[in-house]
Amino acid sequence: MRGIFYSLLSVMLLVSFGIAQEQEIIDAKATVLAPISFPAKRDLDFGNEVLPGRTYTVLPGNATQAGRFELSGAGGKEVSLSFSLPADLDGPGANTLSITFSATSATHATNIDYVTGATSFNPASGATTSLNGTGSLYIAIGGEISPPSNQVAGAYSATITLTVEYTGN
Amino acid sequence: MNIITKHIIVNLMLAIMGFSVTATGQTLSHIAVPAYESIAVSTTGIGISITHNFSMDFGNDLLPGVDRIIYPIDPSGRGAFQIEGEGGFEVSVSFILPDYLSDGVNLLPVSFSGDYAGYGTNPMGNSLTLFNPQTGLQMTLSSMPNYIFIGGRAMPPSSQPSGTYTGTITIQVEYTGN
Repeated sequence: MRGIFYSLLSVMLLVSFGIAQEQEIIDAKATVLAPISFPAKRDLDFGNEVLPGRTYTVLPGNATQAGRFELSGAGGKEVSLSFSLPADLDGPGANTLSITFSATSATHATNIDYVTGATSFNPASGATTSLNGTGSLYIAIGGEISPPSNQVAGAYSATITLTVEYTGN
Repeated sequence: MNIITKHIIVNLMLAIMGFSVTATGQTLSHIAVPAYESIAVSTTGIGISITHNFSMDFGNDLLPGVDRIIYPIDPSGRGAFQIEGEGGFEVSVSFILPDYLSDGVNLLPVSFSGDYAGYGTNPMGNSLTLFNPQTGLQMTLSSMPNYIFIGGRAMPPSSQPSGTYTGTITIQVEYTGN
């Protein structure tokens, strides 16, 4: 009997304290804008007729040889551009060919022709700019090679990587 | 002896709850009824009400790869609750927090670990006492309305698909008995 009483008392105490408990729910919401994508690109190409002992420069405004990246993202948002650049192109066997980039080797533009209103920048330093109103940005990159007179004939290649991030602005 | 001791415990418990108990020294069969009745009546006077004033909003322009932080002192974006109860009584406050918001298909990581919550008696959130909503806290209720604000961090990776993501935040408040 005593056990029943205390059990009942305990239950009632729990129930009564339980009354003084409350909870409420709110929503948490976030809207994410478009991620950055690269819908199109083109390789930087010095051509098939490079001669030893001569210098070849491809400007970013070169319509056929400059490397190009077309970016797509959230309209008007600021992005940072940074490149990972090779020091050499790799050729046949262990042969390499030096490649250099200057302060004007890259451009960014908001026009699809890559040239109108383009701004030059050093790809080794990167740049910060904004996507146009529809979320597009056009990046071009050139470079320079100077194969010595004893450069071994053959195809040489390397990889240029462009990294684009929203800055939050 | 054992019975008397238990009687004293019962009396103390009832006294804490605001009762006038005169059962000391009574036999077990005598005390059972008044104890039962007293408990049922007394506790109804100590309630808690919570209303949510604002939902939490990280904004409409989150960028993939860029974290967005909402602090409890930020006037816009923070979630807000209003709590009313018995002034001077201690309550424990805890949250059920999401790890992700969802658009139905994709998940957006969120975090609340840090001083992303605050409480006070100013409805505008001035002079908040900050605390970590992940761990909750114990606080003494004011006789005035009490306000709890909560922020957090949204962490969309650079590949986060665009869209609107939602989740729920649940607050639980209960008296500690102190």
